[in-house]
Amino acid sequence: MDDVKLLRQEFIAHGKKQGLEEAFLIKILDYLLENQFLPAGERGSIRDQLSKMIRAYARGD
Amino acid sequence: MKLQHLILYNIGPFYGRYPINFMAENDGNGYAFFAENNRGKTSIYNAMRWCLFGEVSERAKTVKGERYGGSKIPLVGEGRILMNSHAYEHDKNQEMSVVLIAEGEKGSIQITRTATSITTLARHDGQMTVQLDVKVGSDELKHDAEAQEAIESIFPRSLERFFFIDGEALEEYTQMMSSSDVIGLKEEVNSILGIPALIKGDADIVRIRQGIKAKIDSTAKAEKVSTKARDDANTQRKKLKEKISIADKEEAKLQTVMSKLDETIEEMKAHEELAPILEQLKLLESQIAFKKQNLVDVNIDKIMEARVGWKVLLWKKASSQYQHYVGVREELAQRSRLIEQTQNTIKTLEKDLSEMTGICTECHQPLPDLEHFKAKKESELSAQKDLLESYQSEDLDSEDDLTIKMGELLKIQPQSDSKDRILRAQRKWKKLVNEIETLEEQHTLLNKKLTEDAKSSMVELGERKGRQEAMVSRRESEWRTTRTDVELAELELKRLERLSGGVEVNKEDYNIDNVISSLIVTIKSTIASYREKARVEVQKRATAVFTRLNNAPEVYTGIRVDKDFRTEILDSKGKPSRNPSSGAISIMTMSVIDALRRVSGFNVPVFLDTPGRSLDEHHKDRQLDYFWQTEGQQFLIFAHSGEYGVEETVEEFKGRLAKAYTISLPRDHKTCFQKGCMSEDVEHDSYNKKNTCNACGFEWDLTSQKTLVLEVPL
Repeated sequence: MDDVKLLRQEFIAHGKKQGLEEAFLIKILDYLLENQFLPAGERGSIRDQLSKMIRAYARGD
Repeated sequence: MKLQHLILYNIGPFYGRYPINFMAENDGNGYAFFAENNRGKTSIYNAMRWCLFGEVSERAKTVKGERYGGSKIPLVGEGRILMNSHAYEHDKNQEMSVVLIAEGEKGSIQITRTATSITTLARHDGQMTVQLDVKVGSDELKHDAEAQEAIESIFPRSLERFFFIDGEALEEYTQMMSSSDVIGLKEEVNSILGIPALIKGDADIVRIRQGIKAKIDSTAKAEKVSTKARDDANTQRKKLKEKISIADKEEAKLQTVMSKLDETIEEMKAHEELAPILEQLKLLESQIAFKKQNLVDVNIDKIMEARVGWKVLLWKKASSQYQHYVGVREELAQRSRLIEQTQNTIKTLEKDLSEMTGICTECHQPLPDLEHFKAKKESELSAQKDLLESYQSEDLDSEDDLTIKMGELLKIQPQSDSKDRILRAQRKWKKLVNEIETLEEQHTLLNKKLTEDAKSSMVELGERKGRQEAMVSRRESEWRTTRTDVELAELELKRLERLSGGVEVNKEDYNIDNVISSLIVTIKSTIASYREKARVEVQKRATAVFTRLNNAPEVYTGIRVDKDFRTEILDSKGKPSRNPSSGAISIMTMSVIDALRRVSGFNVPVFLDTPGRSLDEHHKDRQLDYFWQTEGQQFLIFAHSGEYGVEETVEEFKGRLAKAYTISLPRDHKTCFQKGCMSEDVEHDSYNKKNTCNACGFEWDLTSQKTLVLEVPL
């Protein structure tokens, strides 16, 4: 699974430049990849989950 | 993800249950299904697609890079169907199912898709119910749409063509990859590279941010309102303070006059014993004042009535004269009547005398004593004349004079009740005067009981008290007005305080917004850079695979992948090859598909149907040599016996081949296929159409249509 690292590396590199933590970036990317094929009309729960992740990170949990 | 078991039931040529085991004892990742044509290898390939995605289509066609999907293969009905035809035509309850068991990152995965007829004989898919159950790791069992969602997260349908590769459709891939019209491929390349995760993630996060932004904006707006309200509240506080000060001053004034009033009342209490007298005096004074006022009115009435008093007095004297004139008038009337009567009598007598003939007018006889009678008449006449003269000689006023005199007298005649009214008014006035005198006398007597000092003091106190009460009333009214102003100002202040309070800037929202902002920049930057890096990586990997599989490395040196992921084979000079061989093109296509799949990082099995199509022997061997490595994804081929020979392949890739199966019908076997026997000593009975193994005695019917899936010993 070396290959997926390319996307992950890019994402983490750009995210770190924005001051985001690696663990958080990996969590977000994995979740997005896991749900990348869900159509826009069915992504309500995805947004809710992303929102929770972002809130938790913003709170420092 | 590692496929472990596949259980087919009544699908394609497989009537009944067919469990296929993928659990290998070695570390190989190669799997092979060998079969003649129409034995069912593509049916296994399609059974897995149906299990995962719920439908299977005929091969697609590609025109100018646009992919036109083949028609859907129905579960049941006329023509080509997915359900086993024997089960469809003969089973009482038509049912087919595929169970796929695998091991994934989250643990064991079990996918079961079952199609059941809802009628005695379903004629089309509308008469079938399809149920999907998915169990992933320790997650709850999911059904239908939720289950399909779970499959999509592991095995995305949009990437199907990168994992279910149809060798016969390889030209389609090739055409798409080299075409200048790349609409069809571009989306799929994006998908396989995971770019939808970023694009959709970006859209998701932007949506989340809109919500947060709206909240922040709303808070900021409320904060603005709050700030203004705070300023207004401060101003209002000053105003309130001023109003309270004014109200306090007014209250102080009120208190002052009230205390003075209290003092006056206290002072008045010192003269408490005089109070009844004073009260009585006041009462008398008010009564006297009232009666005097009344007296004025009564006096006016009396004067008004007295205005005809002179008439009453004069009439008292003149009325007798008037009565006299009334008597005279009657006498005059009497005398006139007597004169007239006498004159008539005289006239009658004179007539009688003049007309006397001596004959009685009644009896017409000669009167006996005419002279005597005549003398008598003359005497009567003379008496009457004397009487008339006496009447006429009486000295009486004339009728006219009398009427004038009586008229003059009537002018001073009062009304009949004038006198009574004058007297009544007089009596009333007198009575009132008497009452006033009585009251004044009482007042004088009471007054004598008070000293002048006490009296003046009490009067002064009373007047003061009245003034002070009036002042208290005025001050109280003014104080109440100022208090109302204060209350209104307080209400306004409370309103402003409410508006200014309760709005707290939520720092968490700003933090979230910052994180989201950073994430959006991260995603956009990643999309911008990753696609190019992925392209370079795909090009590198595809070239590596191509170089490894290619049998003419001196002619075809690599693959170029442009920014739209269109591919070309490069020649020895590093330029696009003008006329590459079909084998080289097929290998390029496989190399690029493999490179894309590897760059994407999707770890799922690869299913390659008709893998040797368009490849010569050299390329076919190299293809398996590359894909059946000991590491990486499971790689399943569904090969025609003409593409790859079973024994040769098994022999060549021993150790890398995890499992191999043949799919056949009984009639395909000229040697015994019983596990552990495999004897070639078989007797053929053409009459009864059966074969018998002389070694183990196993017989098989050559007319049987029951498909055999036999594991090849490795």
